[in-house]
Amino acid sequence: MKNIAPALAGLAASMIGFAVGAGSVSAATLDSVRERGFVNCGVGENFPGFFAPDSAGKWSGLDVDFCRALSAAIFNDPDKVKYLPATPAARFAQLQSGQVDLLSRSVTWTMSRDAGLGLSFSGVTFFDGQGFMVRKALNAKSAKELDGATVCTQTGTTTELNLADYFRANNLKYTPVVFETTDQVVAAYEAQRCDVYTTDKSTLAARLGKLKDPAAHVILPETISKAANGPVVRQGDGQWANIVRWTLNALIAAEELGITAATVEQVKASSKDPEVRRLLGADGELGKLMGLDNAWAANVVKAVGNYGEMYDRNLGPKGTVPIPRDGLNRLWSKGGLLFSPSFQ
Amino acid sequence: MSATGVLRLWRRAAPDRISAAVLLLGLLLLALAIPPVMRWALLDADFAGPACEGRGACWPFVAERLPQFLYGYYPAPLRWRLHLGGLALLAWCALFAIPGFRRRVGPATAVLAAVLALGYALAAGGVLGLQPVEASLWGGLFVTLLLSFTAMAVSLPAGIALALARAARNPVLRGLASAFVESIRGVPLLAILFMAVVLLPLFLPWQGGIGLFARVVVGLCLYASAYMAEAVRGALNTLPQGQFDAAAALGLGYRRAMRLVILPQVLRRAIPNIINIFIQILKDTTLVLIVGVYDLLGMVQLAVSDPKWLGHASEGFAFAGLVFFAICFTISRVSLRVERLLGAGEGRAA
Amino acid sequence: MRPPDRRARSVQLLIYLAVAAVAIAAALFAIETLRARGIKAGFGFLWNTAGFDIGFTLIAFDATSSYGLAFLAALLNTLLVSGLAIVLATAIGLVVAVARLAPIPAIRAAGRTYVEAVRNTPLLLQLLALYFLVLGALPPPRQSFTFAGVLVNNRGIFVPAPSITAAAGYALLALAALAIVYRLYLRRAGPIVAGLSAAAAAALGAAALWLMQWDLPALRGLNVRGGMALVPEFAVLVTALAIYTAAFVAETFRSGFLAVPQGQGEAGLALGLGRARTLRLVVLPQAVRAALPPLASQYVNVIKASSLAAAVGFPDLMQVFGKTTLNQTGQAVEVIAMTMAVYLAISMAVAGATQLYERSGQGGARA
Repeated sequence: MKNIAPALAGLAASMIGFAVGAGSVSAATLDSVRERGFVNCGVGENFPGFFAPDSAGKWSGLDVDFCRALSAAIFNDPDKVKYLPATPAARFAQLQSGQVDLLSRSVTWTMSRDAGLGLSFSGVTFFDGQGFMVRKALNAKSAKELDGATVCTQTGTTTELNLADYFRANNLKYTPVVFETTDQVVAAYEAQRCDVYTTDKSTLAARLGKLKDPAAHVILPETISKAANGPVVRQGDGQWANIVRWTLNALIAAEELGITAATVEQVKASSKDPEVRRLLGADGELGKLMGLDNAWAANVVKAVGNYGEMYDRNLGPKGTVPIPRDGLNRLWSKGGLLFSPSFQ
Repeated sequence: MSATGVLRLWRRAAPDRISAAVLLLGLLLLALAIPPVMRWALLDADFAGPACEGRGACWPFVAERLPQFLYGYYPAPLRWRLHLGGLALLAWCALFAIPGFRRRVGPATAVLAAVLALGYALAAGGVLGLQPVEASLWGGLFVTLLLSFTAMAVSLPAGIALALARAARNPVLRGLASAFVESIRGVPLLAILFMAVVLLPLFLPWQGGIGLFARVVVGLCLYASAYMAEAVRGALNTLPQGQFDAAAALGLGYRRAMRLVILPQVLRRAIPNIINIFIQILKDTTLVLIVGVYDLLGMVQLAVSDPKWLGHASEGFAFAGLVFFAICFTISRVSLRVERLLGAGEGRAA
Repeated sequence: MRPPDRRARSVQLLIYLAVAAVAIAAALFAIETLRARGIKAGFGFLWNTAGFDIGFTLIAFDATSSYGLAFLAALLNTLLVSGLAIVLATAIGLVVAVARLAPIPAIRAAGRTYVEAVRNTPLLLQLLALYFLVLGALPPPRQSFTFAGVLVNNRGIFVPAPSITAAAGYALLALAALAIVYRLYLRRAGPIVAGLSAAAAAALGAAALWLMQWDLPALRGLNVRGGMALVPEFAVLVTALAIYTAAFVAETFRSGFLAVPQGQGEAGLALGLGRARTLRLVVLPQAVRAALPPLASQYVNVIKASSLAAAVGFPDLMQVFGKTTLNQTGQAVEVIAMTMAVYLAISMAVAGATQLYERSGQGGARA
């Protein structure tokens, strides 16, 4: 018994020491990533097209590709990433506690999250909106006809709030049935426990193709929310936030400038366009400003391609989950919302 | 059997009208339940082929998913490492065939700890030139066993320490141990797991913290230790005061009295309860699927929502149920045997 | 063991200090982490608008209610589910315990099979399997089973809801009066009076049912409207909890029965009470007394196990507060502390009550 006290005292002293020193430890994410040798990328459990492990446990998807791009920007190697899945309820704590360096898992950008949870949103990788899926047998043409419906959804997401807002605004009644995982929600919807399955339309599209009889279901035209999904980092590390933000911007700018994985080396060597030369590090020292190599953006494009290539690989007609790229997710120059500030 | 024989048997089984009615009802229920179950599981079932069309059970689904049920996403070429770990665990179980080993909780736990250390080294790799395997690839029955045996190996010494602390003279130690045990036992395991997964990282000083799997292990061990402490304390309370007095009279100090006289007896008395707690932990490891670690049941749940095999939930659940039943039932039989053996031992000693 | 008082006291002091230091260090660290991340601590969020709906509540709740009210509604759901499961588990457990001690081998075997099958598989597995079996077995709303105004489909069991009118109220009052009069004065008056009373009671009962207004459930639009509903998540959760706990309750009762000396039962039979009445009047009260403390801990287990509700989509405390609220507000420390405190308080209350009962000497069948 008498040996317990000194041991406890020692533990306490070391913990206080850590606590005092903690402020400085959590400052520079880039340094700890470099020291560690890989990026800790927080993903979700299973969302085909965005993040999903195959049967061998290898991750792929649009959000996964973004982490690969980040890894390429830092290490000139897209595979220095460790993927850490978490449930929606645990994801913010995962980031806040330093478990992961960023969340790249289609987190919806909202004001209360940005301002109240110590998070910093870096941009938008995918514009989405919440929709409804119903059985064709219901003959519903619009969400306004869903009065009295039973609606299945997942806990711990913004969908619960949007759902409540929409039905209240339209003076419709509904009964929510809320499950822990997407798989459970889909299983309950398949078993006809509910009339409606609601979540982001991208997920609906991804899940529709994997239902037992896809032709028996329809996604209603209404989009009841604006969801700007993208990577998130912790507040308080401006350098790291910049790296994540500008990696995304570089992907978008590369598409706009027509630079692809196949052509990037040749463009870098031969282009006369000053913007292209600055982006790819042929001129200027933009990379150095963030503590990276000047060729960071060239490395990113070489590794994962530009944003358009990323989209096609995962969500294009031949991707895992085809989602037509016809809405907001096009470049600004083609009528979409994707826009990168200037590389100057 | 002749008609009179049947009649006699019936008379013996149902001596009065009430029992006859109950028995008839039971037989009727059995007659109603068995044919559909048999038809589903065997007669109408599909046993081979890439897909199932029949109205019965679809066993190819379980067969195709079996590797995932057992190992999760663990890379196939490296699974021999898990087999090796499993063999080590079996060897540990086989040690109990040695009569002298059976009642020695201390050495048994020490050997188990060594086996588990080997198991973790084999599973995780990165040492001895083994290729590292991420914990996020672990899953299935392997994780169920790893988690429950780890909780067991940690909770036994921790539980003994807590039980002794609760019986100590020092009021602070007593109070702290009681507070710990009672607060853990007072909340659901799910809440403890949530705390471990969501809150623990906020309270730990080192950046980056510890992985999800490790946090889940911490949560399970805290939970198991509190229950183990109660089992040991219960046995401690049944020990006659004379044993303590005798140890003191022999001039043994606290430590030697505990080590030589008290603990060996206490642990022997606690064995049945310890085994029951182990069964409880084994079943409760299924809860880790809710916080994102995929044990056997978690893998089954994932497989059930695979679009290729939709509508075969029953087969998956039946498989998981049978596996859990086989393990838990075997252990509970062993527990009964141990109880009887120990009872006989005590009787002889008295 | 050779305790010099001063040393013992200094050891105590050291432990105090060490524990306090660990606690303070952890708290400091958490505060620092939260501050650095810009998270506002405190319970002020409880008064904010929740913004989500809860599918099953006992009190009025909608998306404009506060997180505090969501907490209360979820807590009531947890208590309701646990309470019902406890009652059911006790009933099933008692039957199984009696079966396990029955003189007929077949019945004993049936009891044992039940206990072994249930105890040796995880509750979560039973819960999930039962839920998907039920959803698979019941038809969708448009193909509901209908029987005598009752609708059964995979959205629930819908029964007509009575609302008592004044006339029905008088009929019920008359029925109650009749019951009291019969019990006090007419019990021994002979078969004719008994028959007449029964006829009168039946007439009054039928009149009451007839005079009540019945809100009949019917398929309107997408779903069944009207009537009273028993939703599958609720039913499955209660049933699974009851079935699982009953196996443990049965074992508790069984050892309670075994603790009653055999002579007690024999004495009851010798008094000519018959087997059923001996069981009810002599053996059962003593068995329950012996079984009560372990029974209480089984009941606490039910309350804790009800936290698995999220697996079948039932909004209990853990689901509504521990998950949805936690995720909407991000107040992880506060939310988890409140959730754990509630379960702890319930457990402590039950444990305290059991201790009081044991001390009050009512449990003293041991003497």
